[in-house]
Amino acid sequence: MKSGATNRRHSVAFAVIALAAVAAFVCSIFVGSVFISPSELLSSLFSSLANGGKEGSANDVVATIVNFRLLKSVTALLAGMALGCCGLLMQTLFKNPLADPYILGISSASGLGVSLYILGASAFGVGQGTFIHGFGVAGASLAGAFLLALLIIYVSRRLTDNLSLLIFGIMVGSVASALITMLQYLSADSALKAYVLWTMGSFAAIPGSSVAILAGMVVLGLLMSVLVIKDLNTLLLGENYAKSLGIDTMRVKMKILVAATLLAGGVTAFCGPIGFVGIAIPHIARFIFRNSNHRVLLPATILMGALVMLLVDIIASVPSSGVVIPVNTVAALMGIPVIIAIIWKHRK
Amino acid sequence: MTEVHKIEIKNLTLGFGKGRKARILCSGINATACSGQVIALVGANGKGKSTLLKTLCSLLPLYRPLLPDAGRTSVAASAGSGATEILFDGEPLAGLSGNELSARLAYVPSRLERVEGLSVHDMVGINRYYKTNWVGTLGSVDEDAVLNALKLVGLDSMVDADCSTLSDGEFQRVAIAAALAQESAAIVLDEPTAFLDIANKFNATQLLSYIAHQQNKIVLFSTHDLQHALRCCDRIWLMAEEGEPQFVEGSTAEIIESGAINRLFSTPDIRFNSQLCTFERI
Repeated sequence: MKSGATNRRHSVAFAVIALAAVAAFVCSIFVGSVFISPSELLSSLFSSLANGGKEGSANDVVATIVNFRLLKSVTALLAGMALGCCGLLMQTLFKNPLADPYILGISSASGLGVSLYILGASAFGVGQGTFIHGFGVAGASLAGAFLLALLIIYVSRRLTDNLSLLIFGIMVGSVASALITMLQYLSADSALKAYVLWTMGSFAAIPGSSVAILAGMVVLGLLMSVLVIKDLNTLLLGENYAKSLGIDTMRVKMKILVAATLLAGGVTAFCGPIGFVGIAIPHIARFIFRNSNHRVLLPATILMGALVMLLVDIIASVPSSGVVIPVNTVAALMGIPVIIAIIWKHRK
Repeated sequence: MTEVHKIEIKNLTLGFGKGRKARILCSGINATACSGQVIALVGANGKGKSTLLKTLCSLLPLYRPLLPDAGRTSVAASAGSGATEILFDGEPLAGLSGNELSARLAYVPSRLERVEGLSVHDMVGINRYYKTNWVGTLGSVDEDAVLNALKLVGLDSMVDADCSTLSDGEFQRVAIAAALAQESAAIVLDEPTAFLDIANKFNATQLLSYIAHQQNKIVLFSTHDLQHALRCCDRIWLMAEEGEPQFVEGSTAEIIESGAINRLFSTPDIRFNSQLCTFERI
């Protein structure tokens, strides 16, 4: 029986953020580092819709760019929703406001998979093809994330204390990072650059089929997260409290871990490890809605994630300049002030 | 609610570790609790009060100590013989589903963390877990349960307040309201008055007494404040530090008469004066 005023405030906030997200999505298609006038863009969109994309040469370049941006925007949208949601899951599970989606080492494990693929191939003298954003990188990244997930799930049945699990995840992440450094040391320059470019994060150059796979993983992960809203609320009061209500906390943890792997693992596989926004988005949602109840906070975080990541994408494209800033740089510059604000707010 | 329920603990041993590293906190625990009773679990700190309550509420597994004799395992024999079990109305608690457990026992932990951004209404509503829909929206029955619980603890005016803004006394009452909203037959509280000042301690105890007697629930709480327990409870479960038996239970009068209280602490120069109902130095 929340007061009417609070409910109204929430509805207004949801509506505003949803509208802003839609606006950002449209904006991210219209703006980009290559300048295309709105009229050209619209005519290209309509003609390709009308003719099934078989228009004459004048519109081909525009059509390609529009298609490219559409996929990029959808990717950014999916990544934002996934990382925001995953960040919230980790923050609630570990009762840690600074937990990020990769806290259990997902980005390191994914990175290890990718580096074995890119750098390992070069280190062993195997020639490289054009696999920079290819399916191979995504596959290697997913393999890393899923192997880690299996390990964490196996260990969490024995290390029932969340803090121990957290430390284990961080240590595994560190081991993976150490192995990656070793691979970097042993590999050729071009492979090194390819790996470094991967770590910078990108929503671009992902083929439609990959976007479809990403969409599938993200939707599944989001669905699983929504299904555990009640359990997340009880976890707010502590794992013992949840147990005292007769809840099987081991099963809940499993569901959360699987959802997190789908969300963070999926995004990392196709976009590279995008940091900072995963911590920041749940806090922005908490700040606007002032509600820790996941019934409100989870959808708010998902919506906010979409908006934030679309903004990151727009800024990273540096409209009309012909230059592109790496996604991780923009994400860091946007996310870090939020994190500092959290620490500042929590100071005694 | 005029149903009568009974909790029976038989031959329980509290401890941890296995074999040579086994550490027994208390053995030979046999106790019963019935609806309409306020029971205080009294014992020195670290003697296993929390462990007993958590074991009762299935937060900890039943401890079955294994003796380190070659290859064979046997349950350590204590004052009585027979299997260790905890029964609710004659039925073992082990093997019950979460829903069934929550209908029988509600647990209020000793130090609940306040969550910023969680309203009193939402916090109490969490205990309606098995009654709400898949996403936890409270129906009208649930809303009534939440509001009635808050009215009982005197906090219905603060239903929309943020938990982090409440005082210690108020927050403790919200925690009790949450257990009440669960509508279980028994409420088990771990040191509910430990961090409260005298006035709040008094209020909390009055409240627990009301819940037991007027709402006909089983109310069991642990405390290390013996005088306080003796003054307000119907029955005492006592975990002594020395002597046999280690665990004694009975009405307040029986416990005082039996002299078991003197064994509560192992300090030789402190004695319990049953006339004044207080401890004094010899």
